[in-house]
Amino acid sequence: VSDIDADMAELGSLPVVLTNALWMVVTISCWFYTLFLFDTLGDAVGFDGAYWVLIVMPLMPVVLYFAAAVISVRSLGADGRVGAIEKDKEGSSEGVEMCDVVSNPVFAEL
Amino acid sequence: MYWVYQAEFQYNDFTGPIPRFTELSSLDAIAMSDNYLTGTLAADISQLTVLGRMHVESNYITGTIPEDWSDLQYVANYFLSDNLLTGTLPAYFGQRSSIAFLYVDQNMLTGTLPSLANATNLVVFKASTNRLVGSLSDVFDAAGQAFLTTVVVGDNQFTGSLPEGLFTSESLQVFVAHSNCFHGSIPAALCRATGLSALVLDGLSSAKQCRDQYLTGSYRISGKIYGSIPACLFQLPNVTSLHLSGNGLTGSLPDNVDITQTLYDITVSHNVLTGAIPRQIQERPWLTLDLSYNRFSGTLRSDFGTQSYNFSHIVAQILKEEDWLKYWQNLTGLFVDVNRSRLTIDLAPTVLLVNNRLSGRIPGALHAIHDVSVLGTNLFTCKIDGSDLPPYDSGLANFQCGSSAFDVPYYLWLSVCTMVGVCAYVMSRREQAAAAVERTQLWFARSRGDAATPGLAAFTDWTDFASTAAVAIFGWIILALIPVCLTLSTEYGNFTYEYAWSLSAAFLSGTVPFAVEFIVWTTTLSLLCAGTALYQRRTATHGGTNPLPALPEVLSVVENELLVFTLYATMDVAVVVSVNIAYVYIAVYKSSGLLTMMQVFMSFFKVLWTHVCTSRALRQSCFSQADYLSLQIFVALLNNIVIPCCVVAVVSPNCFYDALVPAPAVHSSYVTPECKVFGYNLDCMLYFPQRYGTFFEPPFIYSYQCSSSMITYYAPTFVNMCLISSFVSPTAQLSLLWVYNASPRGGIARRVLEVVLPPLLRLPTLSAESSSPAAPRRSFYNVNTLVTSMVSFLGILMTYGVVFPPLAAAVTATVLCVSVAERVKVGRFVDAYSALPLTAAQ
Repeated sequence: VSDIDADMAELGSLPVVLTNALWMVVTISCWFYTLFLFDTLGDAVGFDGAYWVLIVMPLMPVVLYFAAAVISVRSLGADGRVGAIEKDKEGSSEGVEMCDVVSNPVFAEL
Repeated sequence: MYWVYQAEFQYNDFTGPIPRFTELSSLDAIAMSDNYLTGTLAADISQLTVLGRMHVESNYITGTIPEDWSDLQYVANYFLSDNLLTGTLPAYFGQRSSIAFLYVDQNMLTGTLPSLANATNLVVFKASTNRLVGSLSDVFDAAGQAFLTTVVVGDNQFTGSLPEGLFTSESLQVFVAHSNCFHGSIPAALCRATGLSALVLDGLSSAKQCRDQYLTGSYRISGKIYGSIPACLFQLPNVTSLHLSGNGLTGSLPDNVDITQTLYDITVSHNVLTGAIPRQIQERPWLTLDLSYNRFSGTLRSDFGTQSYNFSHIVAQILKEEDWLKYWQNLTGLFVDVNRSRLTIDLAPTVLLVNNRLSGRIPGALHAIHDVSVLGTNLFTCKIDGSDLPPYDSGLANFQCGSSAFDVPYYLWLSVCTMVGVCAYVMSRREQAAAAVERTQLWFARSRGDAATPGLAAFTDWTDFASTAAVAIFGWIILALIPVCLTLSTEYGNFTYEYAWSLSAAFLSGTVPFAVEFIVWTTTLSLLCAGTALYQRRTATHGGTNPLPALPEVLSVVENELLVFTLYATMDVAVVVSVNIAYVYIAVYKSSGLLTMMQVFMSFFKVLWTHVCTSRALRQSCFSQADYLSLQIFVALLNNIVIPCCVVAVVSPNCFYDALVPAPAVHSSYVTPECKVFGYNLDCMLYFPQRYGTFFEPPFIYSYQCSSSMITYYAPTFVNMCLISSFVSPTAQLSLLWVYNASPRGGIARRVLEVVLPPLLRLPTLSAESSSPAAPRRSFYNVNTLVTSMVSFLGILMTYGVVFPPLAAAVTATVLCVSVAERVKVGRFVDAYSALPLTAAQ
């Protein structure tokens, strides 16, 4: 049982993995929807009226990411936890930086 | 030798230059056509002052048309076709009122055409297949050229708009201008050409020299030709052939107009024509009806092509062609095989309706037509055996009726679900099964773990998250997306009947569905983000997280393993792309039987490759640590979603295949009256109809159905994949476990199954040594595979499932099945070893 528990301990990094997986799924979904939205609009108005979809929709994950980040920061500020996290960052290992790089603060910092 | 009036040497094998005829001062006709003559056109022919007719076509004559021929005052007919002439067409041709027949086609003439306005007796002008440029606007004068019947200027590089002035001529019978560099619209002035019988305007802006070409060789129309087809063209009293293909014309075919009875050949392929095919066109039989590569929607009428139609004028035309052959045979003594069966061949109709948006049933009249192509990319329905499809259709072998490619596996999946549900219910009612159910529930509860086993707790959290997320997304899809999809398909669907696809966001068109889709899908993504955030906030509150890996550490590992990673990524992409290309290629171009086999293979491949092969490869490459789980997830999403989409985009004819591989030239033909016998006064004594071929290379016109193809090609595969993951795999594991337990110890079957079956299932007997704390840790469970699998399914749910809700049901059920199955397996394992006194952890 301890062996299988150790096997599953790899899931301990679930928040990071989940955050990465979420943004991968969101990004791929946006690209996927881009094709459908472009086809739906382009069929009616032509390429010149629909090409902007090919630019805007793939960038939607960035919008969502920053929206989530803003909500996260405001939420942390409201909870009075920003100072604590900053303090943690100053005294903590580089692991926190990893969290910043690979994941959205709304999830990873919590 | 001034008494020689005609020099007739045609249809022989003479070689060398054209002989000098200057001594034959009375010569009024030189006929040297269809030989192997070389050299140039002699300037001193101009000394033949009474020369009236010159036939030198179909030879190998080079050089320019001599300027000295301007002295030939009485030449009525110049037949210089099919040679190697270069230079320009001299201006004096336009100054001679004597000229009646001017044939300079199939040469290498360049430059612009001179004004032919003063050639007031001009009857036929042929200059096709040269390199002529410039505008035709001032070349002809309809008012002054009362006898002009034929203008053939196709396969050149003429620019500007079509010569509207010419079309005011009532004498004009044939106008051929395919494959040029024209721009503008089809002029309504054509309607004034009441004598017009053949109008060939295919590929008006398709000449190679004026294309907006892609690197791959194909090209786009880019709006040079615009507008719709004037309705009056279908009502011209004498029109027989209307060719308007490859122009990107918009609008629809005119409805509620009386199409002239003489019209038997409509070719309007490779345009952007929309709307339904008008009743008048559907009811009538046609010798050629080519409406392919457009966006016609609606259904085909049951009385398609059944209206009685008098083909007598076509028969008469063909008979006249044969009469000419006989006449020519008598004249020359050459044998000509005139076969009356040709009448049947020429009267065999051609119906091409592929690459449109037609649906419904295929009318029976199409079954008897041999030259038919109506199936490709249309959504026709048919019987399960396809017996009501046109037997001679070129796309019969690989046509999938309606949504049957999806329906069959989906009904199978529903049936299996029902059977499993019924079996579970029946078993739960039986007393002897109660113990098994209780045991299973115990295993399920055992998998939950506790504080002493954080790994098991994380495992439970993860399976809970995946199941909850799948159910929540599916609930959103049921509540919000299905009604939206149904409503949009009804109001804005591209097809009248969309079968299972009417529950999808595929095949939609319009700004309203675009806006609704945009709002609904971004809301879905936002909800997913918010839901995951809430889940993680709860998990964090419970304190269930482990320290995160430091970035430099991760980077150093990646750096060390860069070569392995590159090799791995290359191998993965190569294999997955190859298999997907094979799959889509078979779906598009091969038989439906082979496609079914390929769908099953593809489903197994998706399950095995992502969950077995790639995870093994990562393990061998030291990539199996939790830090690299993200990499595995990325690869799984790449394999299951991104690569299939890319492959469809490249291989499917609904996507960009025709942009990457230029479509073959489209050939057609028209009939024009051709003068075969000239009188001594140089007038034409006898006209015979003659068929000429034309061709153009079609442009790439995007169909805006590429995304829909991704659903139609891959939805069946994903259903099969769900079947395999939900039912086939657990059943196979249970069966193998049963065989394993029933096999005698030491037997071959048992030894094989010890290798095949994972230790988690077969519950190996633990010795005291192996269970001691000093013994090396054994691996019983690859948790990366589970996470990768779950995220893959969630990814499919968020992409294909959101766009096609029925698929979401299968995917959600699969996530639940896999989640339960894994928890039962783990719980059973924990239960088994928790009871062992030697287990160290206990």
